[in-house]
Amino acid sequence: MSNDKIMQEKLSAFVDNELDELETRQLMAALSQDATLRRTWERYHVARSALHQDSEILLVANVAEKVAQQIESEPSRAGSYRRQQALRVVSTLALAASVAAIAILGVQRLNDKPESSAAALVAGGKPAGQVIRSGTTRWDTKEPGAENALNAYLVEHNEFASTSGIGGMMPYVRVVGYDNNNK
Amino acid sequence: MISSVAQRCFLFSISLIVSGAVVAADNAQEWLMKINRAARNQDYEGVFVYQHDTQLEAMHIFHKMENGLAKERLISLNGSPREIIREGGEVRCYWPDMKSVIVEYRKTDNKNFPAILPERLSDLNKHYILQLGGVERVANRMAQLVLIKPDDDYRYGYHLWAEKETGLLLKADLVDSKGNVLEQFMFTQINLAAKISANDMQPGVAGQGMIWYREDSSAKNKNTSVAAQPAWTATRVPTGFKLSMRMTRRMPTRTQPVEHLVYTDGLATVSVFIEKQEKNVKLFMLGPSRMGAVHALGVRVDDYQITTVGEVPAETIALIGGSVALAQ
Repeated sequence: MSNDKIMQEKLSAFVDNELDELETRQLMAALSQDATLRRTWERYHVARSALHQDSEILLVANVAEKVAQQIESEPSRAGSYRRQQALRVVSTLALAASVAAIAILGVQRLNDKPESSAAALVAGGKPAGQVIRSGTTRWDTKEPGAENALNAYLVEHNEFASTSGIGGMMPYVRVVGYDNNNK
Repeated sequence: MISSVAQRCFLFSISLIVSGAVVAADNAQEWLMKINRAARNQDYEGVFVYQHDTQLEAMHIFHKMENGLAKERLISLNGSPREIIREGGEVRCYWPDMKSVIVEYRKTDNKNFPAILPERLSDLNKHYILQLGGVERVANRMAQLVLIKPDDDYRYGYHLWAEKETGLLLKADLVDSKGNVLEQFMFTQINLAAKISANDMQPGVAGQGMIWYREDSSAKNKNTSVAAQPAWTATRVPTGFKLSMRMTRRMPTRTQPVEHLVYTDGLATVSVFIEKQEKNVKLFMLGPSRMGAVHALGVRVDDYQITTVGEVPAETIALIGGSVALAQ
């Protein structure tokens, strides 16, 4: 397997919170140097946030938290360089997240460049979470994140839905249906 | 004696009425089984409309039985061309607008839970009244009307129009206990002798450049009925609802494993999803929500997000979803 492939798998594992500390560190180093990998992350992110709106906040928060932990655990001498390096990665990720959100939503909103502090990044991720409407919305809820989560649950529920006994695909109709009226 | 003759006549007419009712119900039941069989075994291709609230949607469907494996493809004809392709137990959802493909696996080995089987029909009879209606014309074909009426406000009923020859469902109304129509589904064009090619089962959108989310179909998803451990259960359910499945899922779009409980009365089903919340992360839904006739409720119990979803009235969801607790 090529190194790129390995890193892409690690990226996916990272998003699922399945990497250990060493692997996370390797991935971050790779992300800071590899534009292709960053784009993969971006694409991953677009779909993911569209599917699960609140993950935006969650992911950025996760990264920031991990980096913060890492920095704290560094010996003070090496800390300064590592800190800069790590924060650069976090900035990139946060930027990717913001770009992703705009790409899905077409939200006309100027995004401030993320500042170099983990706290600012967490805050920076939040507005995206508030404005996301992914277009699947027919649920009458206003909670961000609820509609996509409900749709995901509905797919799982459909296997057991009463109408699947009667009409086969019928329950899936609700999930496929696309509502153009909620713009 | 006159009285005894009258009595006998009376008994005779009663038995006529009773047997008549039984025959009618049996026929309705047989029609349900026929509809269920046709939905699986019949090859067909057609366009149908689906209406709920003020929404009207059109979809194209292909269905094929191949070597004992049911294959289906459903494409939305409005808006983004989303589609779902099911081959046996594998369900692939193509969302071109989100540049993603989600692959899920049905957990019941394609046994078509809750297929309408004779043993289920007896359950169904306890809470629904089955009747045969007339023969009407739907999508330019003759169709038998079958009525399923709920006997309380905790479940919905159905009016089903099945194609006279094959039993394929041509039209369905979802109705509440007062008979108000909540959702409608109807074929506008259907080809029952369709020769469905392998090409028809291919997605219209390329999977390339899309992000694939594949559900982990390994051991983590197996039914976990570990009796010894404390388990989540709904402590209050409407009459007739029973817990029929309990499993742990690793859903491709969720970060945490999700526990999934399924309650059913033989026809209506309610799913309860239990997901542990991460620290400092907001619950994604609190309170009731609705999409057409599907209701949902989000509640919080300790550190857990409990989401209850089902094609049942809001009261049923409120009762079940509001009573979920960790049994010791």
